[in-house]
Amino acid sequence: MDNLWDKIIGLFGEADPANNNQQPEIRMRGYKGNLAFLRETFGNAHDFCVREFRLGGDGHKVSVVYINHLADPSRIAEEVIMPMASFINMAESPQAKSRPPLAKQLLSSSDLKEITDLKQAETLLLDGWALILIEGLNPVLAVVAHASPGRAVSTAETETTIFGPKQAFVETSAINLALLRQKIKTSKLKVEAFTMGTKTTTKVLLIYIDEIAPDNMVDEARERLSQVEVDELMDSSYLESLMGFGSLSPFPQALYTERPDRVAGNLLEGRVAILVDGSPEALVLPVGFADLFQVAGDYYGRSLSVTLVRALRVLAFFLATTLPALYAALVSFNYEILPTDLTIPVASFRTGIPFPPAIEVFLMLLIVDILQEGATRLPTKVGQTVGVVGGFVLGQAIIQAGLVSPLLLIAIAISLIGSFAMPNYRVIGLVRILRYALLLGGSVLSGVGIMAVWVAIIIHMASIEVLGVPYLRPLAPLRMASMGDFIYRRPYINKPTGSKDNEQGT
Amino acid sequence: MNKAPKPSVTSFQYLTVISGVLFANGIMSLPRVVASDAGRSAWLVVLAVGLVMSGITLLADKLASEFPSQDAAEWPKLLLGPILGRVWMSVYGLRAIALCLLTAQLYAGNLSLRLLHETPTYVFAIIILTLSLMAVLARIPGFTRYSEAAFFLSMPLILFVVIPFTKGNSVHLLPLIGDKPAEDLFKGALAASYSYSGFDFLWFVYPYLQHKASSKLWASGAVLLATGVYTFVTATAVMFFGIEKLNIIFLPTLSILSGIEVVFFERIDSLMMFVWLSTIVTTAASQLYTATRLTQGMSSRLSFAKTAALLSGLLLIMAINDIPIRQAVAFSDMFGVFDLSFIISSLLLFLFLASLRKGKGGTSPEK
Amino acid sequence: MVAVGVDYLPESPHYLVTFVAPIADEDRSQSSRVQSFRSTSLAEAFAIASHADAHVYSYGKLLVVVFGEEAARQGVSAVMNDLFKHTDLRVESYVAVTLGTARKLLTTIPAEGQQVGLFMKDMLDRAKMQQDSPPTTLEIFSSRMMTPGMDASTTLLTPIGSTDPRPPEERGADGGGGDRGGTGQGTTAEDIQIVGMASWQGDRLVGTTTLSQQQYFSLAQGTSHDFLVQILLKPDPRFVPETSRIIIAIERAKPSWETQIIAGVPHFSLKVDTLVSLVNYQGRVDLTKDENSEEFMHILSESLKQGITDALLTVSSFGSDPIGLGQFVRVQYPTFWNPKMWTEVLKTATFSIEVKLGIKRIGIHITRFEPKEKMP
Repeated sequence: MDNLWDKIIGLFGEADPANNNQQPEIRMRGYKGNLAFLRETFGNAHDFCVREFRLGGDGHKVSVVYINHLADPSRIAEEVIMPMASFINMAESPQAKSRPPLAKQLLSSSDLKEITDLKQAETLLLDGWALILIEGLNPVLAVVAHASPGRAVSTAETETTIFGPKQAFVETSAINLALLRQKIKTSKLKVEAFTMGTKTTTKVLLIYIDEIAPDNMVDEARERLSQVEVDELMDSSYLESLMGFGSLSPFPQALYTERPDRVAGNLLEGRVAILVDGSPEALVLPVGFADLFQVAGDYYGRSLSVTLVRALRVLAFFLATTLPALYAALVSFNYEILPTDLTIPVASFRTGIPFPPAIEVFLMLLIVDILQEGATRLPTKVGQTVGVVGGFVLGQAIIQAGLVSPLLLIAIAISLIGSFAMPNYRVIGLVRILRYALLLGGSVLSGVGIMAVWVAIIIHMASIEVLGVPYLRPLAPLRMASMGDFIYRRPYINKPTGSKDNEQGT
Repeated sequence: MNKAPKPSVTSFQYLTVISGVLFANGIMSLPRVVASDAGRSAWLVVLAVGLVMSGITLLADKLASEFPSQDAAEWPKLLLGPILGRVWMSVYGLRAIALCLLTAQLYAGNLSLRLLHETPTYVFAIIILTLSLMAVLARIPGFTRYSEAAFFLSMPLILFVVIPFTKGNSVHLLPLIGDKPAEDLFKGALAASYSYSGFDFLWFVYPYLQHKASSKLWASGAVLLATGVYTFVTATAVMFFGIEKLNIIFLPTLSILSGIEVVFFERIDSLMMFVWLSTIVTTAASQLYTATRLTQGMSSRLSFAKTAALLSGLLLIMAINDIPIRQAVAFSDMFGVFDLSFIISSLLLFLFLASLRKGKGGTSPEK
Repeated sequence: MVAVGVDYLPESPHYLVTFVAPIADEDRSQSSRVQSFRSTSLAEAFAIASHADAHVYSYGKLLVVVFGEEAARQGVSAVMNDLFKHTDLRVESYVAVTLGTARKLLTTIPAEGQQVGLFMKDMLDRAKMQQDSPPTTLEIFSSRMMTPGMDASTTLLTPIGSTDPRPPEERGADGGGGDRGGTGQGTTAEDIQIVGMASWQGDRLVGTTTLSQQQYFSLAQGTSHDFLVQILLKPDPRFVPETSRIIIAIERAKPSWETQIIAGVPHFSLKVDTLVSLVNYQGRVDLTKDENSEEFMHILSESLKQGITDALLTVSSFGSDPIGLGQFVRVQYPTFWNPKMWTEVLKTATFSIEVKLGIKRIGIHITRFEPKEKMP
């Protein structure tokens, strides 16, 4: 940009480049051609704005092009149009000899680029920049003029905690990065930018802390990101399968979080984070099965109480997935496993039920899942009513009609509540799938079927490696050092540690 | 394996996979088969056999250490030559297939006998073989992680044996020695040999081991752990039933557990049968992996996944043939003797050849 | 089903097998819960029952197996074989013997209206907790049955009395049990009580003892805890002024045995280290004084010694060995040991008993209430 001022001044002494028949055919097409290209590219988009005025007394036209609401018109007026319009007066001012240093300050934008590629110009336009096309100046100038059409930083909605920070990410990756930098104030925090999506040209940032994140893990993440070829990237959730992490597996292999503190914590443990422009959720890798039961608030409570709560979550997971199948299996086939004193109420409750236990369970699970889906998307007040109607009235009616046994309803209720205890909504989806799979196994082959499904699940999890880190860590392979943050959360001690947890292959 | 495998197996996984492979075989009927010959000294015989097997495992580990980045699908060709080596691998592979099938059939037979009487045994065998194929396709790193998880799943159930142990009468264990003559004790020892089939799987895991220096400790530890469990179960069975009743019970380990009643569950033997599936898959998958690698070792052009699937398919077809449980048990008793003889004699031969090779200055080639 | 009863009749088919309906039939009428079948074996009876009734009979929740006295004396190994061939047999089911017939016992309708099988299980569970007559399970019974030098002992039950105030002739059809294949007689509502111990030799019942003898026997076995023993003492104005009866609670009884063979006859020495608590001490002497308590403990221990000796001699006279004395002989005197002759040898055995007694709690009052000024 050093010679920008000279270039502008040089316009007054030079012939119009557009009239230069010897102008080589380059991407730039001159003032009119560039403007025509941009108009043609954006068609009749109503937010495509062109502000034309003249610079100087000799009629050099200037067009400022921007996308309304991506760029801020008032900012453009203040930082671009007014200074350039003032320049006309400045040119005739008796203090012209002081023009250069003074004029350099006219364009008061914080960032100025000289563009020689129309494609790049198009991208910047879509990114909220304003383009300055000056008659006689072949390169197009781009100035930063972003509006802030997104949300302000607010509290996390899906990951609430009682204690600790409450901030959440927004849709703008630059702001999100800033939020992270507020937490990790070190130059070792590295940020690598990628652009993905031929149609959306979405900015993606790969973030890690140098000397903590293992090099081979970062290299693999980088390589996977660079291999992503896609038309559109609307959200960070696309990336998990685009990067090749088990698109057909029901197990989440990445952590999605809207909390900067959680991302910062994971970065300090040696993981990598990915921010996607337009998505309020960051992606954290690698993640294992054990991480699905952890929440941000676990790190703000006392060690023993957090340990208890985590243990409850794990227990809830197994109850949620296995209890309905266990009911079907034990009541149908292996009731001898039930304690004798429990067999009496089981037998009496089952009297007169028209369906076999497996069908009974399947029907109830189906009804419950449909209710849950319905209640999720309804407005809050209506959703509450649906919950009451479905849960209480329907449950009561179905028992009185003698279609299911009360014991099954208890089992389903425990299973449902167990699934709600999952801290991660994506795990609830996993629970649903496993629940049906285990029910199928238990209905067909009793406990053997349940165990066979669990063995298949464990084998599948054992075969997963995310960025070279086994999914079942720290249980398999057993890592005693990492057990301090599995179910048991070790109390904090006065000892700074680098991450040793993410050594690949261990 | 064309290049040195990435070390990804921890020492603890080494222990869990070896002991997991051992546990599935024979723990169910071990007390009876040994006590029928060795009488009240059955538990001592089991202990003694275990100690001997621990020593043999050390030798097996030593052999593996001679070829740190190659498994038993490769070094036999180096030691015996390409033709004899392949012949040996064929016999070894057939043995692995037999053991895989026997493991699946025994478990399936037990399930059908005790729990799900109406279900044909081949249904369970198919499930086991399918799960084994999944485990094999996860390769050694994934398979060892699975075996570690299966170890954590199934080991706590053995602790239930403490309950009948406390209810037993120690007078049934007396006299410790002298109840039966020495030749009967030896017969009992041979009968116990099937329970230790499969420890040679360490030859396929060793190249992936991270800390090879301490492998002997962990390998022998695995066998000692299995020995400890076997001895405990045998002693409990003798104390709980008495020798006379023990000799008429088909699966005394399950019968011990059948009487345990705790607050949430009765019939712990049924629970045991369910959870034991995980250990059975460890054993069956280890033998399927062995057979796959050995077949692949015959020709380097063979794809691992396709070979495993093909062998698994063949086993599935063989499994459809129902083998009555008693015949399977009788076969397993004979198989155990053959298996032990084959492995020990091969081990000694290979150690000798490896030492000769070393003496001639041959090193273990790293491809 | 929840309970099985086996009786033996002189005429063929010899077995009268009674099944009490499954747990699920709690709502069935009292009379239809129990079914009896004549058959040549338990397996046959089970097959008949499965065909005759739509309900699923299963051994998975079997609570009690009851042998009628005569069936027990005939030998039960065939019945045990038929029971144990079912893989879902609940081996922790209790085994009991009843005076009279098992059918009569199982057609009893307890006063609470509870199903008889559950009623008996509750009763035997309480006995197990108190250990004054620890009930034997199928597992233990079958093991001991098979083991030479060791026998089983089981609870002895009997139906008693009636809680129905109406005369028997007025109780009518609702007072009986199911009668398919039975004798056609209804029964009245009655209760069930533990009346002693049944001693077995192998698979045969060889004798019964009273409840009191059974309790003393438990002391020798080491299975007694927290049960009440009623001891009759010689009249003594110092310790038992009002009545000769004193009740003690056994806190702990630890037996230790020694075996000797003297002139071809086994001699067993038993030392029982006992700790008791007094329940109804009404003596006039202060037990906090050593001389008083020592004398009293001596009197009590002599009484216990006598009771234990009597119980041991009674049981051994049957040829039954529930303690497993034969196993001690097998281990210590292997050349003397002969499993085939042990029954007869046991009948000649002699015992010497030593009871070391300590009193844990003497009660709140160290002497009795006696307002001295008011005494005549």
